[in-house]
Amino acid sequence: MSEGTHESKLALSRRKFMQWFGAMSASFYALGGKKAVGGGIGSKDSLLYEDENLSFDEKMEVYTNSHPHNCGGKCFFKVYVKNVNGKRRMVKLTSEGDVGLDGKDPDGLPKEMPGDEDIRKLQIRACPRGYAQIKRVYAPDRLKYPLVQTKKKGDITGFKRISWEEALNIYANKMNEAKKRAETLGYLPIYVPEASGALSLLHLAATLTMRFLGVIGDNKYGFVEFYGITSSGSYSAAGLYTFDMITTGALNSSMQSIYENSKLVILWGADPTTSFMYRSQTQFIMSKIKEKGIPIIVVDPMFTDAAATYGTGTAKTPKWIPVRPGGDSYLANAMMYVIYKKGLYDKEYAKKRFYGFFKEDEGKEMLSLHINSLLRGASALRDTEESLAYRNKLIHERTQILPEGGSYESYIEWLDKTYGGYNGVLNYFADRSGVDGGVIESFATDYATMRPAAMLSMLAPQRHIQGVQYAKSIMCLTALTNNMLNKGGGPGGIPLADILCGGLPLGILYPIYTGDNWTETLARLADRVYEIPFIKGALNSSITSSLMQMYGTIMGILLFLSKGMAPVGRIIEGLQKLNSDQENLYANLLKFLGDWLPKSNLENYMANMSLSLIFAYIPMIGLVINPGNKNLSFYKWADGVLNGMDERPAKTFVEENFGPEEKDMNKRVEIDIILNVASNMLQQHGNTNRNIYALTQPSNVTGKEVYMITHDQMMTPSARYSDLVLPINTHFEREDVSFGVGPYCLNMSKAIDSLFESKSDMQVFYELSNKMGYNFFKHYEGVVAGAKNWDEIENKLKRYCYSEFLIFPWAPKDAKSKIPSYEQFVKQGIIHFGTVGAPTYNDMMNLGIPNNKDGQIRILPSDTAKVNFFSLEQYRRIKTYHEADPNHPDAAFLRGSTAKDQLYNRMDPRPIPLYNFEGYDMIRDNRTKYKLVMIAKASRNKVHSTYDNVSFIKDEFPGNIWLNTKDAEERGIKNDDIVYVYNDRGCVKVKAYVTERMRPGSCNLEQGSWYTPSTTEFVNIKMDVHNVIEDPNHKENIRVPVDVGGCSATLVPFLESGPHDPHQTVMGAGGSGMSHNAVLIEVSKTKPE
Amino acid sequence: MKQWGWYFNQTRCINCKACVLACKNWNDDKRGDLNIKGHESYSWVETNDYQVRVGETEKLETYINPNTDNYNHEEFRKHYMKERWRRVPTPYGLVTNYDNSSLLLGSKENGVIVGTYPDIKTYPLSVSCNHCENPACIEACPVQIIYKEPEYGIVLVDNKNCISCGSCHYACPWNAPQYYNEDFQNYAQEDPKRPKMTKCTFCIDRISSGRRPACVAGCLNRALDAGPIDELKRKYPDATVDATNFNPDQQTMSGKPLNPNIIFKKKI
Repeated sequence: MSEGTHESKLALSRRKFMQWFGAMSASFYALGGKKAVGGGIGSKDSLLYEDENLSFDEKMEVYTNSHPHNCGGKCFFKVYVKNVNGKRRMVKLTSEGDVGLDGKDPDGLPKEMPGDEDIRKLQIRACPRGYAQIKRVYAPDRLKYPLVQTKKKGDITGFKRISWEEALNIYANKMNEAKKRAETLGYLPIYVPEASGALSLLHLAATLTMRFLGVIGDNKYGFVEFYGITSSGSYSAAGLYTFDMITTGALNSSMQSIYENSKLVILWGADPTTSFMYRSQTQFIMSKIKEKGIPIIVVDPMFTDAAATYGTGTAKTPKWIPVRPGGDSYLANAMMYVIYKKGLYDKEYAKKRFYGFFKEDEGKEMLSLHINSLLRGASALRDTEESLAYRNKLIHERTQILPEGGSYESYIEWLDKTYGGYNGVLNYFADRSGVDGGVIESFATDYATMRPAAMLSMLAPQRHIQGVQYAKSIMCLTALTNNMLNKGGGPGGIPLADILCGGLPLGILYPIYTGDNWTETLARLADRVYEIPFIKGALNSSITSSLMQMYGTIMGILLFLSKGMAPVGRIIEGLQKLNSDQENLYANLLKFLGDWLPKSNLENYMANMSLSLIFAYIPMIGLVINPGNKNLSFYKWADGVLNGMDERPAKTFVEENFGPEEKDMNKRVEIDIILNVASNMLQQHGNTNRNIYALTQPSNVTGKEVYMITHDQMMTPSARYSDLVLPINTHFEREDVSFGVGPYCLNMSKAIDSLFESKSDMQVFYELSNKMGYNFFKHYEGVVAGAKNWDEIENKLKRYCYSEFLIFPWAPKDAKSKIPSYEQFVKQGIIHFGTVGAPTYNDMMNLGIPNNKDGQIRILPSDTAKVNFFSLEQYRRIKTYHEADPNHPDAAFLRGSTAKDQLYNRMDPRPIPLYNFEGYDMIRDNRTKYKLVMIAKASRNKVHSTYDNVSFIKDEFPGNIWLNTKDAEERGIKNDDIVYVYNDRGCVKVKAYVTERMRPGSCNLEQGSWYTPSTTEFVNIKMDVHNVIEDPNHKENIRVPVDVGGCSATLVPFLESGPHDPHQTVMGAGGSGMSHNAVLIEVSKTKPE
Repeated sequence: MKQWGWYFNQTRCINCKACVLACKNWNDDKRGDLNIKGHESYSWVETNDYQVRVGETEKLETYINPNTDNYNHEEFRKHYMKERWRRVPTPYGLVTNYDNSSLLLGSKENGVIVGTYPDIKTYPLSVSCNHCENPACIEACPVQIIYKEPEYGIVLVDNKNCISCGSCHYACPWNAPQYYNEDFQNYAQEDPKRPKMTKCTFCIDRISSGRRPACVAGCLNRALDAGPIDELKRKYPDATVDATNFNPDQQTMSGKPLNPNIIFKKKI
């Protein structure tokens, strides 16, 4: 604003004052005249000053809490509650930065007080969303009563208020209908979507739902579950292919270790100022890293606040590398190319540790022992000979030959030949990645030479149709520069190291280790598994598979650990035992693993307690009982509802869902009901318009419209399109415990009574089970016995959860004395374990390097014991696809690439970039009329879609579309103009934010804004009504409303990234991810037709 | 008197606005539209009126505003603090209240984001009331209801007799005096809903009970600090009195230097 404007406003105010002055009463003037500058709260009398707001309200009570949102962090809250007219109201809230001027907790909580600058024990401060908690609880549009839809889905005016009694009757009838259907189908035709809206331990929505279905399914009928994971599916899959582990993040150095050891930090698609996936308070550790003088490079299509705050660059490389959205795998491969050509890597190391890198590996046979899929094979055990044979077949497919031309060296040769040598190849990569060739060279050189360098690659770039290829190339890049396993380095991937403070294996194993000997400890764990009441009672043949599925994870980790240190021969021996003697499966596994596991101490135990809380408790309260074992890709639920299948070839799909004995290739999974608990599935999985279509049209399989039941707190878009909506209370209205994202855990105390008629998910399921004649707390009778009301049940479960599972019976002897009692825990609200000097997995892999018979160094946990530059496991999957359907796009690697393959091919056993059929490649080849590439970044005001209704915070961060100045100019768009963002899938109406911070040619529409259909504006779209793989050319013209809510998913394809392989899945992770980033769109001030 | 003041680390600020929201969250019961009888958001603490639309869950307007087709954010907006006692100028995002550029008045440079793609720099800032040595607002106030409190040197207002003229708001280079509605000058004087000036109290309720101000306690990246200004200067010996976008050399209308009580780690 110019000075002139300021002056004119001032002049206006003076004029205004004169007008008022004339109207002023004499008494007023006299009063005003008496006032003096001075006085103060101590002297109210002299000041006519009576504002009690200026002294601290001592009538407030303090409760501690945290939140169950899926932002990647978990923070600490103090909630101030006031009793007003007999009602307890949350009035204020602070976080852990609320340290008294004397350094103690000002409210007298007996908690530890970490220092402001401490990064070992960090203050767990809330982000802006934390301060919107109260306004969210009291949001005007909170769901208050059960509602039933009386008109068409999506019509809010059709909702009718009903009593809980009526609602539970409808609910129970629907469930009973499903059970009746299960008698002929063999499974409950109920689909449970991926739900991350409530992530605290007692009220973990997803597992409560599964427990409920397990209870009413009598352990006989399973439901339709999803595989894959929205957040990190591509990383999981890439981790499996490259290292045979989902949790490659566990191999990363902790933030503490990066602070201590790294010489360079790369934030690749990562913005820790917005979301907190590494651990809570990453943004602050990054500040400390910068202040220590460690250079930081940020790779991102937009100049994020992370780039602005942390980016320093090196002598040659700039602080910000604005990569093209979807160009990440091109950039990573360009770096590998430069490093290879310049010889900036350790050839000897590469020869020992890389598989499929050198040409000499081609044509050789290799035994691929892919533990996770083997376990999944074991977990998918069905009690028939056929299924056993099927699993054996899987195991025997393990010997593979790396085909000619399959090595990375061959790929480099192909590049040189195709693009005419070094400069040509560099130009090719520069064009595709959007990064200048010189910058690629200096970036590659820096990363290869400034070791150890940390690769903090976040999840955004892998939320892309070729996310798996990107993730694999990042992992291979870290290996090639030898940054993968050094202190201060890591392979990138799901950021877990800090959360686990020593790696996932330690998280689970240390708590169970007593320090005597491992065989005995693990045997005790095995006993304990059977002791857990819920499991014990349910232990029959059909439950074994579920049990295996859950504990398969632990076993997978045990195997994984042992493989780093044990000769492969022993593993084969163990697997043979596993195969032949299923009765004593655990005992055998434990015995054969026992000798090689690492030693523990109290320090590590403490560090990992928070995690043990998760892992011990989740299976117990919500054990995944799904004997039916029908699976659909999480991202393709609309296809599941409409067409009963996902993107697998029909033959593979049928085999994997109905068993190898099923001969009817047209058999499909049927879904009558969607049980949507704490999920906004309608708009958080791609292509909102198609999702709505699936919900509102008769299914091609069942011939009926699907019935959707939603538990939620707000009228979310998903709730809006449901048939039955139940109001759920918030985390301030119930008792809970929360794990920390980092070495701490949190108490969640009930601060206020449930508002209106809301109830917790658990209470709903409990009452519903009662109504249907089941006991929701089956095998828990002892825990909840004697409870007189719901509050008491919650309290008993909470105490049980803390006492039984935070303090393990097998904890080191001195552990108990160090952990606060339950009463103390509730009082202090948070336990800080502190980042300890515990070895990370990273360190552990370097503890001992045993040799096998061949003298081969076995340092890596992968199937080949090396870093897979060629994934035999993925190759096997491609072969399966090829066998099932030679024309399946993902079988392109075997078929030889054709133009058609470029359309949907997502699988290649090598970590190379594939054609971006949704992104810049299409623009470059003039194959699209949509000329901008959109990313859908996480926003400051939302946790995915949670909080979008909370104007208190949304008004600070409106979901405008970010456009580069040049792109805006070309389209005649100015800042704050209202624009239409559209493609073939839909149209979104939002404000434009024109900025230099966005890479030209790209734009950003933050994900999670609520889909809101216009009643006046409509557009024509082309919708793939049928399964896109089965019928790729069939598109129907449909007229849909413009989305005025600004939901990015309205424009996103419903194709998932990755290989959609449920056999890669352990505990729902792995398989596939979503494709929200690098979507082709166009922006215009006028509405498209 | 120990004059209190602020420290702001411009190199650490990540523009997250946790301070803004922590302030609005703590001081919600001090907002100007809370205790106006007949006002749509009249004191929910006392009347239970906050949870509006009880019994109206079947109505479209409970969720969707029929005029905009969008979620009913207008309904929600009635119930939070509109004043921005603490302000973080981001180039986007100030939907309500004042144009964020007004915060930059105190500076010759004008811009939080500087440069063109791909060579860009940002200069974050978080400012509330600087509780100046010579407050321009006190001098500007025609009815003399603004005063400097003696114990901490906090600039406070007793707004019962505020005439909503805006003199203080415009006199302050950083717009610390605030109103719940930017149209405050257009209300009739006898209108009970006429917005009266409110401003940062330095969380006097908190500091007088041994607590830090809500914004300091809430700062996500530990960029803010508060305390007696002399102590702050000792604690941060390299701190400057100016920062990029913040020019402390301002005068009252009669020409006295304001001397704002804030020091910085400046981002260059």
